[in-house]
Amino acid sequence: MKRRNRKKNVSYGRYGYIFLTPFILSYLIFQIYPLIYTVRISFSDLKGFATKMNFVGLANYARILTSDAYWDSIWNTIVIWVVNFIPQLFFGLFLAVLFTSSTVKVRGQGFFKVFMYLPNIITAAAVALLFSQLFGYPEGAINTILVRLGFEKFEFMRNVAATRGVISYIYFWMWYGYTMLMFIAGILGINPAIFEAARIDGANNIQTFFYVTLPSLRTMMLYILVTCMVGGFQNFDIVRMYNNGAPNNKSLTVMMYIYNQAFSGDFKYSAAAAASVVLFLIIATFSVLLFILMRDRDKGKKGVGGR
Amino acid sequence: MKKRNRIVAAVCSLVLTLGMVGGIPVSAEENPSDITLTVWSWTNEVEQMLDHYEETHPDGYKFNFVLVGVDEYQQMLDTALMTGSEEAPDLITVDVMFAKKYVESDFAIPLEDLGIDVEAETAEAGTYQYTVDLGTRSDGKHMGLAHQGTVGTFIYRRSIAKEYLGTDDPDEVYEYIKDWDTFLETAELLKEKSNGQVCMTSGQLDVFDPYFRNRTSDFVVDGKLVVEDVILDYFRMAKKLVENGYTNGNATRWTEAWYGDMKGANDKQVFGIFGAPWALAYQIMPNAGEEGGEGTWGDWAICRPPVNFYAGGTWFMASSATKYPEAVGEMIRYLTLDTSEDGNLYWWATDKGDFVNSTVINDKLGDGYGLPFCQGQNTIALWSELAQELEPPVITPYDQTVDGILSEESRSYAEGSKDLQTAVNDYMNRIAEVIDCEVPELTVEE
Repeated sequence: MKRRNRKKNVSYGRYGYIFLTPFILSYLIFQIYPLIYTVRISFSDLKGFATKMNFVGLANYARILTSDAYWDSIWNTIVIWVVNFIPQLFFGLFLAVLFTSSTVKVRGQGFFKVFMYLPNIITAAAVALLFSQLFGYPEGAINTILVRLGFEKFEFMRNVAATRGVISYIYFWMWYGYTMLMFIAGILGINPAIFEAARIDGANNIQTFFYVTLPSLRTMMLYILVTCMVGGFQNFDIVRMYNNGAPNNKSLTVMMYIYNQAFSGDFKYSAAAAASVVLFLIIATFSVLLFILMRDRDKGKKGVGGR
Repeated sequence: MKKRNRIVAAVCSLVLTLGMVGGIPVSAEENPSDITLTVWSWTNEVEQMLDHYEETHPDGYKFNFVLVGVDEYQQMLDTALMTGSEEAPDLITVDVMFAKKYVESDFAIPLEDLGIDVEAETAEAGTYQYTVDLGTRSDGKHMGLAHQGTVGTFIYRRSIAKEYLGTDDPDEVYEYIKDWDTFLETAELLKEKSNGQVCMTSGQLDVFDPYFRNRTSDFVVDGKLVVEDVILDYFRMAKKLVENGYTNGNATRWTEAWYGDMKGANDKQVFGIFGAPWALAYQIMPNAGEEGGEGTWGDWAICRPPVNFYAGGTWFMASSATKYPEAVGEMIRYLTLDTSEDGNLYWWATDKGDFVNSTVINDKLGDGYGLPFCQGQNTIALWSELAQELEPPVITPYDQTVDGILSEESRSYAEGSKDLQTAVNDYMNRIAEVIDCEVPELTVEE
């Protein structure tokens, strides 16, 4: 009797909690605590070697929100992101459709997929150094080629459009392979029966793409958009190593602005924290907007899709 | 009996484990070779010195050298020092760009507390006074010492001087750059005579230090940003150099283009740059090519600059995180004060051709000295002379930050994308963005 009772009470659920503990603990210590701490110091005057902080209310926020340099850096970030993200999306989608198409068979698919993903696994610092060597002035690979072809030397890294363009290109080059893989995964996740039905109904490749593939990829699209946007707002390493915000702060991204607040001049951790919190709110707002824009509008109509 | 043995064994192992975990030296009288000091720097010059020490002192201290990028150095060091982590360095090196911050902080131990009688020992070694001053805290405590004298000269190509100026003698070449106006006239002369094939200097940054290092005021005084005349003059000089084509594409320091200018490997030739002895020993020498081979090996000389200046410099300091203050003190003495032939300074001067921070050694070596790389010029004699003349310079914790901003804004002005007023306004606003200060109303003329 006793034994049976005990057996009845065994709950495997609690093992789940035990297995989750390491993650939850590290998440609390390394993610949640710093987040709360950041918010806390954003209301203080913490800087330099100071260990004590005084509460200064919204002073840091007032300074950041009225700083032209801050908004300029957000604008730079958005420009760099949009210019790399749109081609990345189209290119990734095109390649994904190409590689999953049942009518077009690309030879050596495996090789191409690996080859296109390769830039993504090179360290950002190495990539940035590579490109700053390529576009160097007066001596650099691209300039040498230009001279050989009979053109004038061009100072890429002192030209706003060229600098932003090269940085956008680097991000595009590093990430289109990843976007492609995500889309391939998304397309492979679509029920093949739908494609079959479309073909039987006489839809051509383009129709299939617009009426079957694209609508079914909405969830994947949302995921890519949001992660890519978060990543885009956090662009730092390559931008810093490539040209360090030059020329004239026109390639200074918002993360670099925050870094400069915290790690140059007065080492104003508090101002950097306030700028981070504002950035967090901006990203959160954009994410919510994306969710609203992309949400499944059919959800309200019950019965559709057989659920 | 058995049980007691077990208890004893358990206690012993506990003590040993605790000792290891806490890093507590088990005995007070440790051998130097049991002590490993963690040393941080952004230059492998320091690593070479430590390697040399380890080679010549098999029973001496051991080192764990950590190379940190100079741009990230302060950030990394602050984190290590403020958290007092296990990996925190025992011996730190600071560049003149940010030395002041650490000299004034509580994260370094005064050298007096390490058993170094700074006044007496620097007097004995003949340490250059400006280097002692730079390492002194405002309360008079000595916090850091340097191994180099970083006095600036104009470092030029002899062959170019001979061909276009008719002489390569340092005293006579000095007449061609004795003040900034003459310097610009000579630049024009070189450009004309060579049909634009010879540039006075590599880029605008090669005249940066003579201006930037001759500041006489802090950047922020009474909460207000101070823009000194030397800063404005630098803007104007950069413009003249770039606009008139006196630079070779306005090359930036530490880039391939710049190193190419040292080797004479680029399309145009460059006459010279302003730099400290380390620029000659560490930047030009390794990049000039092989002796007797292609390149510019042996084609160099140094002469007085238009204004005296110093450039860079590395100070050794004891970190408050160290568990071995005595060992660190001993190492600082070895690295910067020991003038014997077994010491670091003597080796560094003779092996590297650098200029060390000791009149005792420089007097000893300087007599009849000739640097083969400079066709036997007695570089030490000129450096010594200039080092004695240096006024105690002004350094601030903001030097690195302002250096970056000034370099960028003066470049924007020089290349013509901004006028001077805009560039200076942007310079001030960018400083105010990261340093708490008030921006003054300032009207500047081109």
